[in-house]
Amino acid sequence: MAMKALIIAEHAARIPGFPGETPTACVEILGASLLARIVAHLDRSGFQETVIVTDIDAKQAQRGLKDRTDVCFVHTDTAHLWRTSERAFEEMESAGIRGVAVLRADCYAEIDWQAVLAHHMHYGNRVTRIWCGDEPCACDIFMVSAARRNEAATLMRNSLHEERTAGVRYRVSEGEYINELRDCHMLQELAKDALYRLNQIEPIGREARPGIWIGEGARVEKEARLVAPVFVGARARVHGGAVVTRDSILEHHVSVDCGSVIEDAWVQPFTGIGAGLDVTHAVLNGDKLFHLKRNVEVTTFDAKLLRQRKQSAAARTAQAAAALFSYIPAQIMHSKRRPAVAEAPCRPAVTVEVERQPENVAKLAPGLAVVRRYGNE
Amino acid sequence: MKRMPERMNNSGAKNFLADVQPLLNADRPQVVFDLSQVQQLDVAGVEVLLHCMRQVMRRDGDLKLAALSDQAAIVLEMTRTERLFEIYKTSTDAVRSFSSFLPNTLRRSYVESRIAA
Repeated sequence: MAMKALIIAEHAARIPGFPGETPTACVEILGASLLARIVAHLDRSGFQETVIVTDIDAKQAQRGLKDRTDVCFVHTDTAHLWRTSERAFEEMESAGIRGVAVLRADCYAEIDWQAVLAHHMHYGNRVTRIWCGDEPCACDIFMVSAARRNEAATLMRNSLHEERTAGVRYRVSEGEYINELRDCHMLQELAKDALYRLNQIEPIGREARPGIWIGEGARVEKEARLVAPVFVGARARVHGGAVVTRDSILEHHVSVDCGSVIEDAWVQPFTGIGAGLDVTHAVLNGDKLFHLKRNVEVTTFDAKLLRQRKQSAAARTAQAAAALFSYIPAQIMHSKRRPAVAEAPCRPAVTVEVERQPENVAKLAPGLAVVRRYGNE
Repeated sequence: MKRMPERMNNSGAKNFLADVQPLLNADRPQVVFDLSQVQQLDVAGVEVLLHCMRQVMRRDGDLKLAALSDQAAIVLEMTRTERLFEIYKTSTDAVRSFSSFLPNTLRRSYVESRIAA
């Protein structure tokens, strides 16, 4: 049975606690954006076409989806996002299309869409809402009959929070996977579930060793240690002596300097991690860090700790060259300024004099006597 | 696969290192240490583990640990060296993990921690 999908990706959507200003749809998960991951699942489920209505910058939103002919982007401004979605739905109606999946790109769901459509048709629903147990799924995922424009219009006007007529609910079964991405913990859980193959998300890269995925053009120096399961994204760099250990994810263009240890951490693209640091249980994005155990976001203002790397390759090369040229003179100056090493003090002559010259005793304060430590004198 | 002795103190560690040296000198060595019998693991023992890991990495191989006794697990955690090794519940899992990624064997602790949370 033919289906189409309509995804609404809002620029303003954010995952609470996620460091930085990345819209939820553009958060990178093991080498591809959340939006690309949602589209990939819809592909696997047999959707004919996917329309994405978004107010996010085109370059950012289309990352990883540019060459797809079955994915159509509709860019609009924030004020007209829902009105444009309504129009996009109207244009999707075509011969043979039975249902349109309508969802927002702020959660991740692996639903058996063929079963949803069968359920939708069986009960003659106009709109079928996806439920998790006895509660409506916080993700606001719907299947709408393609011909029901008014139902779709009501949904859009309520920002997918409320439908016009409630149909028979579709309850998510145990085999299906839903992550509501309510906070940073759930986001990290999604990525870790992918590493442990608890969902269908595939890391983008080759499995260099069992449980170790390396993206295209990534450089891991020989002295660096990777302990499975880990993911090193495209063009990331792990310097010698660094340790990237279990449950860690380095997205593309991340750099980990010498001697740093990354454990159970998720590093977003273009983040530079300084040398000799110990980063655990955290989500990092540029110069910001969210600690998952303390629930605290920290911004570092020192590039020796965390830094935002430049997005253009030329700018990164220039930045590295500038750092090198500033480093060498600083080292020369440092060596010149260093004080001469003081000579080791020789044996204290005074003590010897005190021991050998009893006349010095007279200089002591009155009332004090000098007594030998041993002997009977 | 090599079983570590009960006492990994100075002398025990030295003997153990002499024992495993031929394994480490192989081309791309794939080594598993079974720590189920370890009752005493001191700094010398940890140093031997790190030394073996370094040697194995230099030859593009890997060293994995299996069946850690409570004593060994605590010492490795205290010295923060447990993060350097892949650790499996059984030696069989560790050996099999060289040929393919076994999320189930590693997943157990992850799923347990998720349930606890």
